Formats: sequence, structure tokens, C-alpha cells
Amino acid sequence: MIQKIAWMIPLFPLLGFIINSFGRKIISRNMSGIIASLMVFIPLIFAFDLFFSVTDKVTVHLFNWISAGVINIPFEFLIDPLSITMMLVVTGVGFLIHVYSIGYMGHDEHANTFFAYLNLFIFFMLLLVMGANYLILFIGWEGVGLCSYLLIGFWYKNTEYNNAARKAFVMNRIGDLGFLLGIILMLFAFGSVNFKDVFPAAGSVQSGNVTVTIITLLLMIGALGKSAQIPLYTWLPDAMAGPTPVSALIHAATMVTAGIYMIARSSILYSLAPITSGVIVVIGLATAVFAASIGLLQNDIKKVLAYSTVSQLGYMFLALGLGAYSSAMFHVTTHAFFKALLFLGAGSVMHALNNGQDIRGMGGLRKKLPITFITFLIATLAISGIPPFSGFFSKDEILAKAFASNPSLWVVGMIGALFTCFYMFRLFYLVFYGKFRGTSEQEAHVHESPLVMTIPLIVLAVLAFLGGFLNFPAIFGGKESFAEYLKPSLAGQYYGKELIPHQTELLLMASSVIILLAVIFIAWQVFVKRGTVPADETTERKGLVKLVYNKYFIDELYNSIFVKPYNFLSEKVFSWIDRVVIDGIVNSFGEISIICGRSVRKLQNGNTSFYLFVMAWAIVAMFIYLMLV
Amino acid sequence: MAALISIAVFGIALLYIELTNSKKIQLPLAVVGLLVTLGLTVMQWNHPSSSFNNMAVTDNYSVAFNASILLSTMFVVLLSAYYYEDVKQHVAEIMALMLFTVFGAFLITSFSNMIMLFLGIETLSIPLYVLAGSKKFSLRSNEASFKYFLMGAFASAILLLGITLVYGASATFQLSAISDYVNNTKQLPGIFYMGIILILVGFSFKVAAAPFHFWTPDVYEGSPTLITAFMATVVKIAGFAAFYRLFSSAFSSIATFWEPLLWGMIILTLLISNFAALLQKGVKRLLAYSSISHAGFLLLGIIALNKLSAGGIFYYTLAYSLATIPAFGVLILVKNHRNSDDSIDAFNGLAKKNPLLAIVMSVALLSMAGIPITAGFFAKYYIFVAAIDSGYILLTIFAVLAAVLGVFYYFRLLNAMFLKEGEAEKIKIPVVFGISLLITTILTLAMGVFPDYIIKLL
Repeated sequence: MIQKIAWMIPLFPLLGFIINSFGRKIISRNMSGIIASLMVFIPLIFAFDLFFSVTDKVTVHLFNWISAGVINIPFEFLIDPLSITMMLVVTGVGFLIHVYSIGYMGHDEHANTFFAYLNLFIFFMLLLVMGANYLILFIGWEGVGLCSYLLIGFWYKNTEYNNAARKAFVMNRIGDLGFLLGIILMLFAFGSVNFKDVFPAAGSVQSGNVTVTIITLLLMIGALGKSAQIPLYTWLPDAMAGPTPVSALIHAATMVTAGIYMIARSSILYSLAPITSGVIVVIGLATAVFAASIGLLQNDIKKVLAYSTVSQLGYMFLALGLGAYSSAMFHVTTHAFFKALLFLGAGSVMHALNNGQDIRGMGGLRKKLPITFITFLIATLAISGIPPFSGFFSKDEILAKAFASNPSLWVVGMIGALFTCFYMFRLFYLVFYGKFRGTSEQEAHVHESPLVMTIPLIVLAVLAFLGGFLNFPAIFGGKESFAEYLKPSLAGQYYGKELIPHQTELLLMASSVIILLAVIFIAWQVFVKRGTVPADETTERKGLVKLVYNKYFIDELYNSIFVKPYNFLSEKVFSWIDRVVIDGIVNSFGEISIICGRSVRKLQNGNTSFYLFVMAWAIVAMFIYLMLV
Repeated sequence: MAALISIAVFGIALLYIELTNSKKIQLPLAVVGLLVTLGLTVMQWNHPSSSFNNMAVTDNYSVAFNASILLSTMFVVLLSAYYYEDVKQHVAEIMALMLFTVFGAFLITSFSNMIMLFLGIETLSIPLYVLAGSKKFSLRSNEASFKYFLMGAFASAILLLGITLVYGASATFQLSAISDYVNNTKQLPGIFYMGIILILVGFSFKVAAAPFHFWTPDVYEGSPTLITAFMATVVKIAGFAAFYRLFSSAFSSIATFWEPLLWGMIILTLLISNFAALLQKGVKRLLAYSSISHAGFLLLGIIALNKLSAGGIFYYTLAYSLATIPAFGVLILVKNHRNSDDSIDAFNGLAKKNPLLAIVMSVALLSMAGIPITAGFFAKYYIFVAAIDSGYILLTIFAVLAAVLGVFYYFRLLNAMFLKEGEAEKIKIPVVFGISLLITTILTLAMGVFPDYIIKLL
């Protein structure tokens, strides 16, 4: 039954979008939030129902969409463990964030528009994860990009926010171009873009096939843009210009994991392309460590979390490159829990401080914001990888796979993990411990957020705490049920025996936990015991610190090697080629056309006998033709 | 057959209803008549039959075109509720004449005998002459009516002479027999070829292809706007249905003879219409030239003469009708509010106060220009594909260039509506009027997104 009506799932948020956008002048702000939340909650129930009733693959056929010649693209949804997992994450975390937004955006005059966009985003995201071919996936992909653009620039009166939105859009377009080329090439190579045609066909392809390698590389470029990997990651930190629930939903929990989902969905293609997988390993690992190192010195609470997201996505890429697709999806899931929680917690802090974002202006908030404090602590422990919080299981699984492939990968990955642990506890201590460093005005205003915001925090905290047990590792006697569940969807994954002995794995875990605890202790020493506060903007920084503090000057680099030459070229092209050459040609065409028009118009003189005269002569001309043939 | 009787009966009934002089009954009766006929027509789908001693056949081809004719007529009739609001008398007669025109159209979509063709064309045309002059006190309307009649009579005579010459050579009016005659005769006589030329001329006149198009701008401009919309859609659909039916059955085996003639006419039509449209100031006249240019594109479907043609022509005529009716509808409203000014300037700043009208008009214009996600895009696409399939590469390239030129004048109107400033006042849209505008717009978009359902019919 539920499988038959699965096509209705994306319609609810679409309906919510329509109601909230057309009724934005009638519906009250709270009502709009409730409608929007409800329209995400219903699909959540549906998704749960699917989770319990579908174990293999179900294709829901809606209609034949495009059939031109040999190309046949049906409008179909694919319901299988992978899409159900994503649906649960999208609607589950999405619902909590919708509820939270009722409190967070309640005072904004454009709250109804906000909820409309949020619903639209959920609609496209569901389309993305449910589509049974690459074209529907691509529609969802572009759609979430559009919503991301709209929501980053939600406070459109601020020019900087608009620039951030534009940057996100352009960077994503670069990736999308690769993705689109990949889809087109796939259409040429396999004659189809339907999962059910492409994947079986790929089964008969030799590993290392050039076409498949190129296709996977092109698709990967799309994923690099959407999932903010080197070199296309710079948009994500800027995207924090959007309202905090947006950062939590789109730029942490769901949209940015679309790239991971897409690669996991194409696992069979990637398992046939060792070169691409190698590239993904390098990019993922580099991004993980690189972004984490930037996070070490950032002072904006949302920027720290943004770089942390980039870094965590890097770990997911690493897992994908290693062929551990289920590990990547597992990290997607746990990351959705704890990173959404971190952002919402940050939102709660900002809410209390009247939108202050600089951690140098915070401190000592643990007494004033007890619920935020505890939930934030849980999330921090989870992301740092302290057992038994969820992040420990998912991250450790990836690092174990890395070790099995090459111990040096583990070492580099571990360095990233140390960075992560350090910047997270740096953030945590600076916000919640020590003395309050903000203005007295803020201090008087500080208050815990209302229940509508704290309850989602608590629910997410429970998930961030327990989420790891979804895939309880075999080493502790677990069944790795998450990986097993995904098995029907991940044709490319190796489901064999463990690659490394249990003792080694235990040793790795123990050593990593000990190192992490040491890092936490050091952070405590520095930021709580000694009460160090990062230097303010005016202090001159030197050497490596200056480099990292300024994010390795990557933005400046892109600016001078891409943006400026591009602008220069545009100006030249405009002033010469466009103005002189193109306009000249076009204008002369126009002038000639108008001259022709004038003479043609003279024929139409309104004189009936002239018309008949022309007709008669035309017939005569035709008869002459008859005599000639 | 049943559909034919139904449309005639409802037409006659409307004439009697005129006596009551009550518009409350007239419009519903016309709508019911069209709906009943539509139902009867659709029931014939996949049930081919022949009637009048095999002089007419009802097959899927004619059913599809008839349904499309009825749909277009329906929208025109719905628009008439507002258009004839202030007219006290003879409204039912106008509707009855429209139904009689549809009767004639039915005959020429399903003829299998030349006599039936001529009968149909005359039944189609004579009510139209009257309709063109139905604004009795307008000099322009009378002029249009008279011009149309004069030239129409000329064209009818030529067509009839053509039919006679073909009969003289083949001794039959039956299409299948003519086809057999062509196939079995080694040396066809000269009068047969002359007959084909004259028939071609007759049809070219009806569908307004150059150089037999001269009546179109004058008649379209002079006739009451609603009647222009009716002529531009229903007559065009029926004309092309008959044109293709005749030339694809009786004369298909000597296509090498008449295709060069058609080739020249296509070039001429596309050239004259698109260049002339560039400079038009009046929207009605612009749409008249646009209608001529669409005839040029449609002729590509006939010259292609392959299995894609029928579907392509059907899709194109339907898409064109669904764009033309709302375009004229918006024109009627704007013209009424601007003291009968139908120049492009009258549309200045329309989007500001009347976004709905501007959107409807834009979709219609974009569809006519052939911009994607509207039906017009696939209309041109299928016609071009058909022509390329038959090897008319150069002609297709020429047609594409002509389409580009077309974009220019459609965008002049868009430009006026959206970018220019004008004395904007809110135009009140009557309910029935608004509904038919919206439905046609939605259908245009739906056909552009799901072209398959229509193109697969034929």
C-alpha cells in the first residue's frame, strides 16, 4: 500500500510551499511554520512506513516523461534502502529544524517566505534522493541549489549576503556543468540514464574502462561542487550568511551530502574506476585535514562549524574513495545528527546574544543556557569521536578502512581528527566557560531559548548520542546492521571479511581515544585554566598563523587568478567584440530586414485588383514551370 | 456522421433561439452543442467508418483534427460572451454561422471524394464571408467581408477548375481512384498537371500562403477581432488537414512534380510574412502576418510527406490555435480599454497593473515564437524533424532563420508589456473570459512539457 502512494511523499512539501507562498499575506507567521513542519512530518511517517515494509528495490512508475527516438526517460522513483535512509535523514532532521525555525524565525517579517523556501528545499531534496534516474536526480540537484541560493541571500538587503549567495551559485554551477556532461556521456555510452539500465550494463564493463572513468570523474566534479570539496569548497563558509536553521539543514545535514549520496548511488560505476577512486581519496583526505586546520583559528562561531562541515565531508569522500560506501553513508547520517545539533545550538547561543557570532564576545554561558550547553557538549563529543557517541563509530569505521588500505592514510586522517577535536573544544570552552566577554547590554538580555527551539535540540542530542549504535561494529559483537541494511543498494561495495585483524583495530581505537582525550585536556588547559582568548582583529599575525588565520588566502588566490582576469576579459569582450563586431553585424541585419520589410509592405496596398493580378501571374508562372519540366 | 448531424442540428436550433433574443440561453446552447459534438467525435476514435456512398471517411486522422477544431471553436464561443455583451441582436446567428463553418470544416477533414472537398470548402467559406462583415455598421468590417468574398470566389473558381481538369484526365472524383490512375498511367496528360497546380493554388489561398496570401492582412484586420481569431484557428486547422489529406493520398506518387512549387511558396511565404511583420504597428495586423508565417512552417510538414508529417501538422495546428486564441483574447480586452487602439503602444506597461493578462499574452507569444516549455517549441521541432527526415536540409535551415526573425517581432510586444512605461489601469477580466484564457495558457504549457501525448495520436 505505502509503496503505491510513495509518489505522494515529495508532494507534501510542495503543497506546503504553494500554501505558504500564496498565502503569505494571509497566514500568520506561526501558522505558516506549523503548516511547513506538518508538510515535512507527514513524509517522515511515510518514510518510516517504507523503512519497515521495503527491504529490496521498489520502482514507482509515474509516467513516461521523455521518449524521443531511442531515449526513454520515465518519471520514476526508486525506493530502496539507500533512498529510504536519505529520506529519513532529510525528513527527520528537516522536521526538527522546521520546528526549531518556528521559534528562531518567529520575529522575522518574512518568516512565511522563509518557510515556503524551506518546504521547497525539502521537495527538491526528496526528488533528488528518490529519483530513479540521473535526470530526476539532476532536477532535484539544481532545485536544492536554487533553494540554497534563495536562502543564503534571504536577508537580501545586505549586499554581502547577496554576494555570498551568488558565489555559492556560481561555484555550484561549475560542478553542475561537470555533472551534466557526465550524464550526457552516460547517455551516449549506455543509451540510458535510468539506474535500472545503467547499473546492470555496467556489470559487464571491464574495471578501469576509460569511458566509465571519464563518466565517474565528471560526476565527481558535480559532487565536489555540491559537497564543498577542494577546489570548490570556498562557497560553503560564505554560505553561513543565511539564517542559522538554513545552515543546519542545507549546509550541514542534507544538501551538501547530496554529492556523497550521488556517488554512493553510483557505487557500481565507481568500483569500476580505480583511478577516480584514487582521486577521490586524495581530495577527500586533503579537504578533511586542510579545512580542519583552518577551523583551528576561526573566531566566528558559524565559520568554525562551516569549516568543520567541509572537513567532515572530506572524511565521507575518503570513505567513498576507499570503496566503503556504507561507511560514508553512515557518517552522513551521524553527521546530520550532530552537525545539525551544533548549528542549532549555535543558533540558540546567537539568539540569546542578539545575533552575536564572534566567540571572543561570548563565554560563561553554561549557567545561562543549560539545555543548549548540555546538548552542545554531546554534539561536540560526538564530532570529536569520543565513545560511545555516534561520531566515534562512524569516523572510526572510516579510519579503520583507511588503515586497511594504507597506514599512512590513517595517520593523515588522524591528524585531521585531532584538529577537529581541538577546534571543537576550543569553541566549546570559549563559548560556555570563563567569564562573559560581551557587552553589558547583551548580558542582561541573555536567556535560554523557548521550548520550541530546545526540544529539537534535545531530540537531536539523543540521536547524536545513540546514532552510532545503528552500525554497532562487529568488533564489539554488533551486527553492523546499517551496512547490512544498505547492501541491496550498494552493488559496488566489497562485503567480505574484515580487512584488518581485530587486535589491530582495537589498538587503533584505543590509541585514537587516548590522543583525543589528551587534546581535550590541552584545550582545557589553554582556554579554561589559562583563560586564553584569541587576539582581536587589529593584532598583527605572523608566519603560519597569519596564513591559517586568513584561510591560506585561497579566496584571494581565486580572486586574482579567476575573478579578476574574467572581469577584465568580460570588459574587453564587451567593449570591443560585443559593441563593435556583434552589434555591428546584428544592427546591419536589422537594418537590412527593415528595408526588406518596407518594400514587402508596399505590396500590401489594399487594392483587390492588384492582389488578383499578382495571383493570376503567379498561376501563369506555375504553368511556365509545368512547361519546363 | 453523428457528429456532423449534431453540429448542423445545433446550428439550426441556434437560429431559432435567436427569436427569443435571450443571451442566457444562446451561449449555453452553443457550448452544449459543441460539447455533444465533441463527445460524438471522440467516440469515433479507433472506429473508422465511411459515409455518403464512400464520399467521406471518418478515421483517426479526421477525428483528431475535428476534435481540435471543436476545442478551438469552444474557446472562441466562450470569449464571445464578453465580446458580444453589448450587442443586442443577431448574436445567436453569429454562433450558428460559426457552427456551420465547423460543419464545412468537418467535411474537408474527412473527404475521400473531390466533390465532398469542394462542398466542404464552400460550406466553410460562405458563413465566414458573412462573419467577416458581422459588424454591420463598421466600414472596415464591410470592406473585409467584401474583399474576402471577392477573392474567395476567385479562389473557389480556380479550385473548381482544378478539380474539373483532374476529373477530365482521370474520369473520377474518388481519391483512391485518382491515386490508382496516377500509378497506372505511364504518360500523364498536361491537363492533369494543370489541375494539380490549380488545386494547389486554391488550397494556398485558403491557408494563406504567399503569393496567394494578400487577402489575409486586410481581412484579418477589418473583421471583428473575435472572428479573426476564429478564422485564424479553425480555418487553418481544417485547411491544412484537407491539404495534407489530398496531397498525401491522391498526388503522393507525383510529389516530385508539385514539391518544387511548394518549396518556392514556402520560401516566399516565410520571407514576405516575417519581413512584413517586422514593421507592423498594429497588433492585429502583426498577428495576421504571424498567421501567414505559421502557414509557411506548416507547409514544411506537407512537403516532407513522410510518417512524421500528419502528427507534426496536427500538433502544430493545435499548438498554434491554443496560442492564437488567448493572444486575440488579450487583444480584445486591451483594445476595449484603450479606445479601440490596437497598436503595440497600447500594450505598454501592461505587466504592471495586469500581470495575468501580460503572462497569458507572453506564453502565447513565446509559443508562437517557438520558445521551449511552450507547445510552440515542439510544434516547430516536429515539423523541422519531419522536413529533415525527407532531406529538406536547406529549406529547414531557412525556416529556422525565419523563426529567428519571428522572435524579433514577438519580443517587440513582450518588450512593450514588461519594460515600457504606459498609462496603466487595471483591466477587469470577465470570469468566463479569464477561465478560457487560463485554460488555453495551461494547455500550451502542458503540451510543451508533455508533447508525447499529442504527437503519438497520429
